[in-house]
Amino acid sequence: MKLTRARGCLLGLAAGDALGRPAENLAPEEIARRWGRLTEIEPGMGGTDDTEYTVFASSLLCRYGSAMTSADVAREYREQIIPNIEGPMRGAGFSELGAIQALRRGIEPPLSGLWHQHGWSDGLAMRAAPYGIFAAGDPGEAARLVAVDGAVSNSGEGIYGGQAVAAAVAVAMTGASPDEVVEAGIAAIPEDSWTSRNLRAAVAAVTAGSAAEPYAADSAGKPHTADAVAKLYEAVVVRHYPWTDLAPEAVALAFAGYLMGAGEVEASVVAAANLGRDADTTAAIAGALAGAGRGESAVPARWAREIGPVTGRCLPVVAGRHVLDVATELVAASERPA
Amino acid sequence: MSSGDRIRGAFIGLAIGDAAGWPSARHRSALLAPWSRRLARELDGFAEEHRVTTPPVPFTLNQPVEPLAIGPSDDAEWLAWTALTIHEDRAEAFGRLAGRSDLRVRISVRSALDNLAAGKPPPASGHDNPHFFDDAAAVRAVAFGAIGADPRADASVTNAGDGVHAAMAVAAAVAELVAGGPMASAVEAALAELPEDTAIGHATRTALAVARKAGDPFAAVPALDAALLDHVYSYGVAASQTVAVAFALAEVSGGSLSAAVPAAACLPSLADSAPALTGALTGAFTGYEALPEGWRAAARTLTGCGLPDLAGMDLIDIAGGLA
Repeated sequence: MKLTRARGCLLGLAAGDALGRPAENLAPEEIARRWGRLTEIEPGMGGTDDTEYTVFASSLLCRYGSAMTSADVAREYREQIIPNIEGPMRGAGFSELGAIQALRRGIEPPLSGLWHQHGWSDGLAMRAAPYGIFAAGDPGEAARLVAVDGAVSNSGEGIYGGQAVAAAVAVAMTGASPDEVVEAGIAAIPEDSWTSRNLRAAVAAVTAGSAAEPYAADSAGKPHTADAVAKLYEAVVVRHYPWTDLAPEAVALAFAGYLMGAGEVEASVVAAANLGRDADTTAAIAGALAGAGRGESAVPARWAREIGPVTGRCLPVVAGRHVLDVATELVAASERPA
Repeated sequence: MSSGDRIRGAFIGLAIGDAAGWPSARHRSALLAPWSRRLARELDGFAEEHRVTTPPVPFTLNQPVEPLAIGPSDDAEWLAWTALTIHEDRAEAFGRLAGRSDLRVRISVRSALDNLAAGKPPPASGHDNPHFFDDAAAVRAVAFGAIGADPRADASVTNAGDGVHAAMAVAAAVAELVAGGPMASAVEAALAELPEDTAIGHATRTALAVARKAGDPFAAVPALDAALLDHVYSYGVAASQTVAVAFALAEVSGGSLSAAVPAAACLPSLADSAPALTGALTGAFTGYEALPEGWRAAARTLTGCGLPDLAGMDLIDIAGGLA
């Protein structure tokens, strides 16, 4: 069971990444104008940095396990990522680019995650799922481990966003209900934080919406009411800021999508992707949560067919790796004696 | 020299630095009709499309030309607003701005005003904020430093973390200078507010070290650029950069506005506010009477380009209200 959940988690993540990709930075109205409802992965396009950084994080866990330190992660950045950057660094978020510049200056974690201005980026949340797989059933350990990685590139709310996702995946790996999964994510982070406030506001907005007009639990095709989306936006989206990679916002939208989809893979991923903003990341997180809960076979076959080995476009070091193999290795690593 | 002269020096010094940075003309062009700014944006696109290296500059057509003369903009206006409301509860003072559609404000302030309007009070209004780290509160802190008051409650409305540390540091330094202290004690007072394990604490100590090594403000410009600026992020108002540069240039200039402010204006990505903060520190050190006369005249009248209610107000009068 653990294996199929792990494979479902990373396959769901990759599918969400690929589905959300063309909707990134679009408003829900624009998504509706272009696609009606975005439900199909663009053929042959694959995923983005979300999937590739997730593969990279998995490789760290397989190598270091629960003994991993932030110094280990910084060293891996310096040995595996930085030397492979030729010319432009593609597809990475601000937090990763900022952290790499800090590391190049010789700044060590946790200052490397503070030095740049995108400490709150969702760059950790997008690669947090492997920590939940590795520490399945133990949200506290998942949250501890992901913060070890996050200290290199993120700070504050960016760490909390990663911790909420990792803890939620750890609980989803037990087959818990979506409500319990979301609750575990919220419980893993300080109550007096932006991410916690936003997650609770997103839950309230989604719950209020479903009372008025129930969300389709199993129909990816049914659009959510514009009013419900507007309420959710009002609750968690920063209106006057052009960048969409704020972890408090993205993780809240991802969890909202997961709840709107009632934890079903297709419905959750579609719901998150059609909310727009950082749609590849939010749909990837929703897919990771739902895939962990429902297992590999719950990921639509037409989506799974589109997920091949990653190209290494963003991170050359992971080129050729397939998320399903990575998930299998993660489970094996998690079962090795510490 | 009186403390009143130093307070006027801090205010007008800030306004001179504000005016000296290139973004001031952009801010002041907000006073022109929208179509005029649209034309400017189209010219930017034209330059890109036609591969011409002559960049368009703010201009007016069939419009008053006064806004584009050298003069202060947003930072001077926020300092003035702070001085005028300094004895009020900060959440209440900001609350009056929430919901207004005629203001032009920094991202931190815009987000904070949205938070207040949504019922989220400080400190969450400044914390749940994408630009919690910017220098909006550091600019306002010049007014708190002038009267020796604690800027934390004010800063927490719009900022958190480094943004609040920056305000504490600027207020501490200005208070020290207004009391007649030397620049070295002002820098020391600022560093006491900047923990070493924060970005702003690390950056300020780094900036001071590289500027001292370079020996004078203009010589320090490339070293500051190399030591502090990664050019990864899109907005150059992070307090960990602008405040660090301001202290480094204020110190290495020996408190000379005429040496420090032009150097700050030479860092294009920080030119919105680093020159203003540098001007506040050096102006507080020398006092108003020591500042260059032409600049004093050019910098004193506010245009209301960010806060329309302040159009036409005299910053020297406003500073005098605190003296």
